[in-house]
Amino acid sequence: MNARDVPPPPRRRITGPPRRAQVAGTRRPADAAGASRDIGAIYLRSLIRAQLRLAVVCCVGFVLSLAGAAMIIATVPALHESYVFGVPWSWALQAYGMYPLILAFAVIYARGAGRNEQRYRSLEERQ
Amino acid sequence: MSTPLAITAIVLVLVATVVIGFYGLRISRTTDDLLVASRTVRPWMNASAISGEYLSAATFLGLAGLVLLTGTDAFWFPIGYSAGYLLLLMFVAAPLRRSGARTIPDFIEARLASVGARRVTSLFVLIIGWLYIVPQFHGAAITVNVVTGLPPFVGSVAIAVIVGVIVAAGGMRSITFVQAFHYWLKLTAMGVPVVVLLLNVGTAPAAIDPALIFPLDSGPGGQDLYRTASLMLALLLGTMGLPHVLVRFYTNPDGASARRTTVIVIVMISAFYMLSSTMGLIGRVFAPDLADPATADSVVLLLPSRMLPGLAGDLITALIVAGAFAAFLATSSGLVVSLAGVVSQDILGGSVRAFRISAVACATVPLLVTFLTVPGGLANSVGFVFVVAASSLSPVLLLGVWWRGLTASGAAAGMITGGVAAALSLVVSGFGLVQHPIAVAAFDQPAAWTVPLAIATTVLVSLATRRRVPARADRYLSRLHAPER
Repeated sequence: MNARDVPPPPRRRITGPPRRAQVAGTRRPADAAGASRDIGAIYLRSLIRAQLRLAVVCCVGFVLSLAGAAMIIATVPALHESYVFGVPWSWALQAYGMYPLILAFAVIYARGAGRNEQRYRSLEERQ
Repeated sequence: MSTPLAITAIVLVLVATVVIGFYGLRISRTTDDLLVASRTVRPWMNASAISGEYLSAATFLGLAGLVLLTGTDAFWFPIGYSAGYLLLLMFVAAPLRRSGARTIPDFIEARLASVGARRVTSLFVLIIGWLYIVPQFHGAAITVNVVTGLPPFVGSVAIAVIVGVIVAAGGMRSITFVQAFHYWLKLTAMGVPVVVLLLNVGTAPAAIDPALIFPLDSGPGGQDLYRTASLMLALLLGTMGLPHVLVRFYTNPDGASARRTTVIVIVMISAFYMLSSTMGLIGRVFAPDLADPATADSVVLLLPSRMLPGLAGDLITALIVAGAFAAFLATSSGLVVSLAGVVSQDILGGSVRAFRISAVACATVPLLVTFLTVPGGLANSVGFVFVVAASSLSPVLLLGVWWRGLTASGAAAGMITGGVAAALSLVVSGFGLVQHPIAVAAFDQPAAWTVPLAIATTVLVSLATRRRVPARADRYLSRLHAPER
């Protein structure tokens, strides 16, 4: 049988990417590559754990500092008796004071997450 | 108030929106272009678009109204909206970007290998989206009615039509440009009036006694601990479960840029919220008579002409009207994009034509609901949407990203339990079915128990069906967390 007799694959019209998200490749690792894959998997698992730890620590830290700030604003009487531009300090702090806190934790987390990924990448390359 | 100026402002915003939308249309061709802008949007552009889409009627009109009505309790809403992005950044932004899925149902199906779980997710995406569009249409109705005297339905129909047409024509690519434009328009439309009004504080007639304007009871000292904490839980977790928020993260090129985008978003929306809060504080000084549930949402629209009679006040009002319309347009178009994505993929087969049909349908349904309901306080009705999202989609997203033991049955059970509990709470508190003060608080702000209930149900059912953990769960989780090369 001549190679030319093999019919070409049927023509498919492609209108866009596949309908649903594809799941990562399903190839079996070759034996030689298997060992290095296992090490890769360990590195990755430790990356996931490090990212989760970072997220939980940042989240708990944020919630505690938000609650602490709210308590102080609500309970210190001096904040309600002194005024800034005609507004009690307690009102002003409640209106404007929490956003820097949110931003600070966002920056801390984003930097930490980037560092974790950087560490993972350098481990993978050394492999 | 000058009606022609206000109408001119509305028309200008609509025209600019359509022009930018059609400019985007020239370069959107495939389904990928329509849904996720082919994943080529840079962080600053994407952050402007996310912020533009996120700042809705609730914060443009509702926040100042609520400050006027209830005092410092109201400030927790924008703090929660902003901190919601912090949780989104920490727990889901980068992993969901790497999932390769385009919508929340896509993610759930790929993660759990289950079409059933996908269908339940799609249902909640639709419910949450529609619930969120309705207050936007109400906001448009209030604005048109207050500034022009036209009947309220004119505003909501105008918004629905323009959103349906833009989304059907251009989809996400043009929506990205439109929404980025809307953010800067909204920031200007709130910032310039705040600065001008503050400069004129000395000249306008005002209530004088600060103890009356900022009473102790309405200040931070008068807050109810349970209600505040429960509301914050809903707002913090709810943000990541909003359908239109998550889909925008798929337009980032990679996980790291998804994180950068989120940090910029926090800066952008916080800036807006501080301006909007200032408007509320000014309102307490110069418009205490509007502190009534029926009129509070119009304080931003009425304040400028009270403090600055004549042309200056009219011009400032027109600018605010333009910003308010940008708010309704941006949020509802973002929601319609993500809902149309879900409907077209789940029911109609996912072609470009199906997307367009779905877009029109997704703008029509909430419009009908708008006609059937009366506007409540905008900030509070949006608050309820966050409760539903936090009790249904958010727990499953969180567990799906971080816990390999999640199963399809667990996810479906958790979403349904949490969603039904939140809906029941709305009914109970809406009809006043309970009297005991503790029960009233628990049903008014139910997130404190509906969220743990949803999480517990998801975990327990997943453990009970642990043999059905998808075989490729580990591989999928690796893909979510491994950085791109």
